[in-house]
Amino acid sequence: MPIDPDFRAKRKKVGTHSGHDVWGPVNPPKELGIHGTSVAVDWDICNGDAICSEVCPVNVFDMVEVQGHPTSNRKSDPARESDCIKCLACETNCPTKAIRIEK
Amino acid sequence: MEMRDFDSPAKNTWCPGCNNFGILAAVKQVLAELVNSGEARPEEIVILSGVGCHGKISDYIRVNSFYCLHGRTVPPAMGIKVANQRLKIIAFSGDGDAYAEGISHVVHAARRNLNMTLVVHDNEVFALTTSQVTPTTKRGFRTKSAPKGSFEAPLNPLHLMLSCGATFVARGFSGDPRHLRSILMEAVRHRGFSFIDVIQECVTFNPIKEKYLPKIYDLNKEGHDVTNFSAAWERASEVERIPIGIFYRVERETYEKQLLGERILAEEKPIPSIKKALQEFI
Repeated sequence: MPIDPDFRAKRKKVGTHSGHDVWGPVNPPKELGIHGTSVAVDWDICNGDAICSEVCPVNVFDMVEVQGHPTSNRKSDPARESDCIKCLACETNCPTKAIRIEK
Repeated sequence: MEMRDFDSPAKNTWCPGCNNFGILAAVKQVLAELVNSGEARPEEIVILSGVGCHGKISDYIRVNSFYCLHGRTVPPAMGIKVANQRLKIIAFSGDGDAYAEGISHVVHAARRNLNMTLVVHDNEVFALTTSQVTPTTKRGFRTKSAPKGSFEAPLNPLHLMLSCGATFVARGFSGDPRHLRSILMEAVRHRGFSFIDVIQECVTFNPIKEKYLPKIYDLNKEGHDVTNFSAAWERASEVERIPIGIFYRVERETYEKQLLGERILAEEKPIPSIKKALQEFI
């Protein structure tokens, strides 16, 4: 199940993390929501593969550790989403389609 | 070093979704590994690129680079290698660049076994000039230069390189940057002419990824013998499935070793100042 492309309309901002918005629902450790707005990563889908971080030409992502999430213990965090040049390399290469770039 | 140390400040102007980003990432990772393993210092790495969308890769990697005329990545690469054998040479070319304008240079570099790596960004179309046929364009593909579809038989780059005597022949897929990184690393370490044809889509003019993806497989996981020329030729002939990986790899004396032995010409003749060198041409 890929990230919902309409999450901005359907979900609510419930907080911030490392300078970007977090879209709910968030009920840790099982439900972590979507991190970022222009570069959005659905942490409930992200499997911690890190290919996004490898292919990003401008180093937008940090890999962060989480505990007790059913999908993975490592999540991709769009820590520098304002640096994004919208090349879509992360979105294209993500194996679980967890990333959505605002076009 | 990390791959990020090879980021350049140049603004990237490839299209959104361009497969070149996957290739760029693979290259930076390989360069970092080369430096970290002590195989090359950053200043001993030289990249070259031709004309085409791929060519901008010279701007996007922070190492010494040479932006070449159309199809002419190999002649300057040869000059650089002969001047200083210690340098690691990685040349980038497009399918139009390498197989149309510059095909004769590629043929002779393979035949001579010049110790360099040639990576061809093969998207089967001249993309920078907004879609014309190249030597690898498939039959029936419609472009601005062939509105009724190309009627020419496409070139098989792997067959070309095998028949020219290339000692390392591989195919990558930009949709699998990690696999590409692994064969690029092998190619750069290979002593001799190493060639990688990278299948990539052009998201704007030739979006083939979804069509090719189900056919792609790694031939090195299927017991392929990379020293068997006939087996490599057979694999390179496959069209129903698309093999990626290393097709052929053998050792042969390199061009520069035969020419120079262990001599390093750049050390024998000190490099003059740029100003002085240019005065000869003014």
